[in-house]
Amino acid sequence: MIEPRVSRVSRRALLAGGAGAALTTLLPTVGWTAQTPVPSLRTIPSSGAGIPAIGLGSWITFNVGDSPVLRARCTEVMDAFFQAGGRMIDSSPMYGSAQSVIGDGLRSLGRADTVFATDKVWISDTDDGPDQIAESRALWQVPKFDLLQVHNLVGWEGHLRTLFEMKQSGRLSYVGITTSHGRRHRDLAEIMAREPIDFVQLTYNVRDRAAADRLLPLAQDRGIAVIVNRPFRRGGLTRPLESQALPDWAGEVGASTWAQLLLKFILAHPAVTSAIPATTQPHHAVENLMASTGPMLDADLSRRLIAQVETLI
Amino acid sequence: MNTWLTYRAEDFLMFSEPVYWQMIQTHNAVFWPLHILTMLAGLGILIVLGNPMRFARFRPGLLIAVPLAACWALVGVGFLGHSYASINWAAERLVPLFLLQSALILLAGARFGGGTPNGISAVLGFGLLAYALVGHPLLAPLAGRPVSAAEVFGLAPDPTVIGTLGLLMIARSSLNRRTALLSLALVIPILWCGVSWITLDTMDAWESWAPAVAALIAVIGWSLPERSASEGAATATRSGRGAEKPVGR
Repeated sequence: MIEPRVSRVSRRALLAGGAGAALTTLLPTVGWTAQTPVPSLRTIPSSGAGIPAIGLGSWITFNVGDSPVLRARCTEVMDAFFQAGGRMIDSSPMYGSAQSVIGDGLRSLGRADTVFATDKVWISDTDDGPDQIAESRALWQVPKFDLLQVHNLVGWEGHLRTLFEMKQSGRLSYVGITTSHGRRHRDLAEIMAREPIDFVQLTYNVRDRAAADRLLPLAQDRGIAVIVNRPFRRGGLTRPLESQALPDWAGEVGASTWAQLLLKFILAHPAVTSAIPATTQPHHAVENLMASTGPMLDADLSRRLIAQVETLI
Repeated sequence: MNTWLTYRAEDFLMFSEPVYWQMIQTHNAVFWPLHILTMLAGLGILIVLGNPMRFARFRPGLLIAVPLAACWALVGVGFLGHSYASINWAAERLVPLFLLQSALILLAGARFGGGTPNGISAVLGFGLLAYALVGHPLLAPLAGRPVSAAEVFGLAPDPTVIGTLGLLMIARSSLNRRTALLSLALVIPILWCGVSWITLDTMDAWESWAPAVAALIAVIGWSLPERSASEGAATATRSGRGAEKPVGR
C-alpha cells in the first residue's frame, strides 16, 4: 500500500473552518515549501464551506478497465492531485470503470475521508436510483458521497426527490444536477429557479460561453455552486494550442501553460465554484490546480483570450 | 431542436485509444493459449471451404459452422461480456446479438451442402478470410503495438467478423445463390463492422479502414449478380442440400 506523503486534510476543517483555516490545514508537512502556491478556495453558497477551485474529472481518463498498469497510473494522478491540495473528484456510473478506479486509488492512498466525493445518478427508472447510488458508493469505497448530481437531467424529478431525502437524513451533503455540451439550458434554468439544489454542473470554456448568458448569473442569484465540466473541450482546446506561443501577457496572471490560461478564464467568472479538468498525467493535475492561484483574467484579458483562441483554432 | 441531434460519435466514446488497445492486450493474456485453437479452427474452416465436396461424408457445413459458431460465442461472452465491458458498459448489451449470430451460423451450416466455390464472390471471400486469419493480427505490430496486443480470429471481434463475411461470400459462391439464411447471417457482421469503424475512427485509430473496407467488399460482393449455373452449383444440387429458397430471384 502506498502511504500518503502529506498530512491529511480534515474534512471538517476544510468545510467548516472557511478559507483561512482550510488554507492553513492544506499545507502539507513533507515535500512542500512555504513558497509553493496553495490552490485557492471557493465558497459553496448553500453551506459557506470552502472547496478548492480546481477539481479532477474522470470522464475517459479514469476508464481504464482492468489493466493494473493503467489503474496504478490513475492512482498516481490522484496522489499528485491530493498532494497539491486538490479535493473534489467527479465521476458517474456512465464512466465505465472510473468509479472503481477511483475507489481503489482512494483506498491505496488512504484518502477516502479526504476526498470531496462527487458522483452522479444516471438511470432512467428513478425507482432504481437508490440501488445505483449504493453500488456507486461501494465502488468508491467511501462512507458517503459529499455531492450527488442528477446526470444530464435523466429522470431528474424522481432522482432529485431521492437526493433531497438523502440530504435530509444526513446521508448526503449536497444535491446537484448536471448537463454538458450546452444542452438543455432552458430546462436546467427552470430547475435552478425552482428546486433547492446546492450545485449545478455545466459546460463553460473559452469557446462554449452560452452558460454565461443566463445560467451563471442565475446560479449567483440563487446561491447555487457551479462546477464547470469540459474546460478544455476534452483536449480539443489544449491540443491545438500547445504548439502555439502563449500570449505575452500570460505571465501577468501567473500562467505558464495554455491549460492554466484556459482555466483562469473559467475561474474568472464569479459564479464559478470549481472546474474539473480530467487528465492522465500527474504533473498536469498539479499544473491545473495551480491555475487557481494568482490573479484571474479581468474582463479585458478575457476578451483578448477569446479573440486569440478564435484566431488560433 | 431535438437534443439527440446535438450528439456526435465522440460524445459516446468513453475510453481513449491506448486504453482500448491495452484492453485487447489484457484480453489476450486472459484467454491465452486459446489463440492457437481458434487460429487452427480458422485454418480448418479455410481448408474445408476450399473444397467442401472433399469432406462431403463429414457434413462440411457443420465442419465449418461448429468452430465458427463457437468463435462467435467466445467473442460474445469473452470479449464483449467480459473484456470490452470493463471499459464500455454498452458492450454487454451486444452479447445476445453475437450469440444469435452463433445460432444462425449453426443453422446455416446444418443446411449447407456445399459446392466448389468459384467466381468473384469466392475470390473476395477467400481474400477476406485470409486477411482475417493472417493480415489483421499484423495490424498491431505494424502500428507499433506489441504482438501480445494482436487481434486474433476467434477471440477478437473484428477478425472474427471479417472472416465470417468472407466465409458467407464463399458459401454464396458455392451455392451459386444468396439464400435467405445466408443473407440474414450477413446482417450482424455488417452491423458490427459499422460499430467498429465508428469506434476506431472516433479514436482516430488508422485501423478503422479495416472493418469499413471489409463491410464494403461484402456488400458489393453480395450485390453482384449471381453467375449462371456452374459446376459448383450443379454439385450442390446433386448433394441434395443447400436447397434453400434463393433471395432476389
